[in-house]
Amino acid sequence: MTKEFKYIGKRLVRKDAYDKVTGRGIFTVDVQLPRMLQVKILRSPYAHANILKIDASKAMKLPGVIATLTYEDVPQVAALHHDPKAKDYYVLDDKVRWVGDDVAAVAAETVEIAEEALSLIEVEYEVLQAVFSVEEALKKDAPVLHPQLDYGSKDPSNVVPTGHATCEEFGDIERGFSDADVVLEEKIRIASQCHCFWEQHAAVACWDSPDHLTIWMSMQCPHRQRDELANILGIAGNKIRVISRYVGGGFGGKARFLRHLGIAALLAKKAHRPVRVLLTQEESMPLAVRHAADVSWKMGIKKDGRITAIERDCVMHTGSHVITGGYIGQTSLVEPLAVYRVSNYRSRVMNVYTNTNPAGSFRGFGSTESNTSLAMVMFRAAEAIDMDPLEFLLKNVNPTAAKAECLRAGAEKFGWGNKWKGWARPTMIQGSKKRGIGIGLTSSVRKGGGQGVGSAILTVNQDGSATVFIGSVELGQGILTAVAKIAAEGLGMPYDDVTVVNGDTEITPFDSGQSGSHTTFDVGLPTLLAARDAKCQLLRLAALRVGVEPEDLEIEDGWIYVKKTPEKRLSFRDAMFTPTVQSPSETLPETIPYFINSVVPVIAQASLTRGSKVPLQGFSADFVEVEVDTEAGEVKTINYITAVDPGRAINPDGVEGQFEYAVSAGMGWSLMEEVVRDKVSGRILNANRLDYKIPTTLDVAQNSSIVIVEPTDPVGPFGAKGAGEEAMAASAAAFANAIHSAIGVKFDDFPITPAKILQALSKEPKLR
Amino acid sequence: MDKDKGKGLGEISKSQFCMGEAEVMKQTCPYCSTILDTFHALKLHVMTEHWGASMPEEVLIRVVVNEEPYEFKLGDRVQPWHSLAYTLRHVLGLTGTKISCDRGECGTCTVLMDGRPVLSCMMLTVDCDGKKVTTIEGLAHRVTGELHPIQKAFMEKAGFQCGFCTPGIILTTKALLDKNPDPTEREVREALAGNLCRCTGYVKIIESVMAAAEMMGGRNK
Repeated sequence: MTKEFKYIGKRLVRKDAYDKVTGRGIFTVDVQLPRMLQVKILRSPYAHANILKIDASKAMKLPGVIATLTYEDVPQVAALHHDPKAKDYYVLDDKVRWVGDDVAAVAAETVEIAEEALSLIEVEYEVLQAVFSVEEALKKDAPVLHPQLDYGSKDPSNVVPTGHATCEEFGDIERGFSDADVVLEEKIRIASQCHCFWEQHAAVACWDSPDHLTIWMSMQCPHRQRDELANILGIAGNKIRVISRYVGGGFGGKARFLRHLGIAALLAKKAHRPVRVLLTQEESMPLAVRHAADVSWKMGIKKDGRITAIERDCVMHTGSHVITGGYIGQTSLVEPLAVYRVSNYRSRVMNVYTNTNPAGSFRGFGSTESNTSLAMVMFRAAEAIDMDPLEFLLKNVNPTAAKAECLRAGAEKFGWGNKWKGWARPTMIQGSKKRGIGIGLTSSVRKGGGQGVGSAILTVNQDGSATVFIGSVELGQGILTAVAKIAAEGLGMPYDDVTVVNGDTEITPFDSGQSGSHTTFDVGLPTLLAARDAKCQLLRLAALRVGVEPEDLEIEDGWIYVKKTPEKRLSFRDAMFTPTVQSPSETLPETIPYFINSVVPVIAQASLTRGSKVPLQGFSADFVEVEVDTEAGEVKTINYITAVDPGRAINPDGVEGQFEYAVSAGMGWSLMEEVVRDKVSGRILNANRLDYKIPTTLDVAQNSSIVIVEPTDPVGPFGAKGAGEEAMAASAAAFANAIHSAIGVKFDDFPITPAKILQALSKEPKLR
Repeated sequence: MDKDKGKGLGEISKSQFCMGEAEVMKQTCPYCSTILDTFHALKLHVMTEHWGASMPEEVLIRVVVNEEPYEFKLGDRVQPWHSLAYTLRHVLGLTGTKISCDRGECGTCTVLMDGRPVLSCMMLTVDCDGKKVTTIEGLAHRVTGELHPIQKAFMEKAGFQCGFCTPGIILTTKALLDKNPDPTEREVREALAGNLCRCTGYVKIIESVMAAAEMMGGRNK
């Protein structure tokens, strides 16, 4: 399959491996600067309040306190990239909108002093009525969280006035339903979820001079954050250096501007000293979590399994501010179309503000908001017409790319045909234990536009080794390795001789950030183009040296050969260390003279802006067999297969890793992880990893495997299109469906805990 | 010192931990010997009750970290409320030990103390007098710098993604393999149950540990 490649598709030691197994890799939290101050943030005790008066003068008098920050010190400039229209997010605001919202900040010599200083800040609040649920927030007389926004012709309300699309419709939906034999209506509640990335939110800011800021941050999009800071600070982008080389996990939670970044920059400026902001786990976990969403589906089906119409209405709980809600909503409108073939379709979405922690992006970006619930509805639809769900899905799966192929490959490896015994027939019953099987399908439509920008600069060094500069962050996905492989393969040189420099806005070129699994494509392709350009430059130099035409030469493994006489060969170094007097680059005048015996630099660059016409459609099909203990309510994973189409798998380890994550985090989301809120204050009660249960080594499936189906993308680097974004939507639904087939209970909300299972089986009185 | 103090999650399963068998997490105030439930409670106690108080006496903490002896005077660079993780990272500059939850929930800050895995965010540095600590920086060969076979196995099998939990996982693995050179997969899962990871789904971590056991000769027994 990948025989013709030397590095692509091979399992090589990752470029970040040494740094990570030795603990030498420097993350933002590891940055220590001389005279660095520690920052603590004062958080709101009220869910909704105006700040009438704020006075930090007593805090300033505490020995060791160097600077304080309140909304009065903060430029009232809204975040750029959250929503094109709903501009609601400032570094600090004169209004607080959730328990835990940022009120003020202190920079002091130690964390302990900063903490003490917070208690000395005097704040006078005017407490307002708060709304914690969408139902309350949509009531006519509900308090409006952001009355200052532009609601156009509508009255201000808690419906987010987003600049993104909120409706997608085609075909004749009414006719579709009237043609159907069965019309199914389901309402599914998509649960919120905390990212639980391992490196908590952090930033270290240092003003090197009065007009130049260097800031390390644990974020997924350094260039985007440079934009945001330039906007807030009112200085040019070249005066801000954002460094995010290694990031300890993100999963979407670090994709957009968050307040602590602005606080770090502004406090460092005020204090004239470097500062570190390090949020605690309890502060980090509520930020930009997965949107909870109420999704209503209406589906028309013919008895033969054809879908005649799909209608979707989705209400997303965006919390106090829009981080990415509008954009996610827009993406969720079209996600189902990448998975299924449907001719009559209507999809609507709205985001609603509530006085709870802000929601944001989390692995899926619209696909979880639509495809998870839709995969559950599809399973129920198959039951409604008494059809094998696999057959039903194969009838309706979108015919583009290799979706049916994925589905079939996964089903075969899983043994679906042997296992499926029909509806209401568990695959096995043993005492109180019942086994069932489920499927989940998903795609992620990774449209271009603002998201799909990437670039790479490749330099061949004097000795023939190469360095590639990319703006991307290495947050575990393996982009350093992928880019090194692409460069080595494209240029024809050893993988070990390629170094990748990344995630530094002062050194590396523009990149729209690591989200949506598009970096392999959007940065990988420019890397490949740059490698090919560098190869041409080397060939031209070598041709001059040898006295042949460039077409007569070939590059392999770091050597340049004359095709006809392969025993004659030149190293890259020999080709570059050349007595020629001609420029190798077409972009330079032909006759720039070079000194004899000098090195001719070989530098190449490429960039791309992927338009929305090139949607990368990742796809995965998940199959799971679970065992439900009907006495204990526990769910055990027996067997798990994921079939995935990543295009060409540049790093097979990386592709597998993405989906192994999904098996675990998808199981966590559907079975274990529950965001528990206080009904009185709306705050999350279990924002820690003891009370918020994420899977451990003992919880995850012991018998799982990934099938990589590799139909190549026509444009992507070596046919790659990236993988991972879509993963979770399928796995979570697969678990819910398997439980459905095991015990015949359809759960409409996550997590499906033992208590809920027992309650549904009437084994125990209602627990809450 | 309480012999159970600092018992690592490697020796307590997560379920035991969650069931409240977390007596081991109790902390003793170095000034007045009051026993407190959590490290944070202790920190608060020290700050409210003993803030600015003079030391009971000059307390010296002698600790060997990665075979290098260190001596700290309490109140100098090491404060009574400083955790071992804090001292390692901020005083000794050994930032390979990562802190994630900072409250004993995730296993990230695991280091070896006298060969046993402990959560360094839950250990007070003052309690480490006379102890031998191994951090991730101390695993490679002291002279040649050659990596430990466990590190090599994790590199080869890509047993990491973001890499933030990796040092803790590698050290727990070392404690496991030192005690049980030929573990079953189940035993590996049990040993690592207190080292959470969000990125990998654990598959390649388990593979790495099994590969390390084989590399170190355990499998040939």
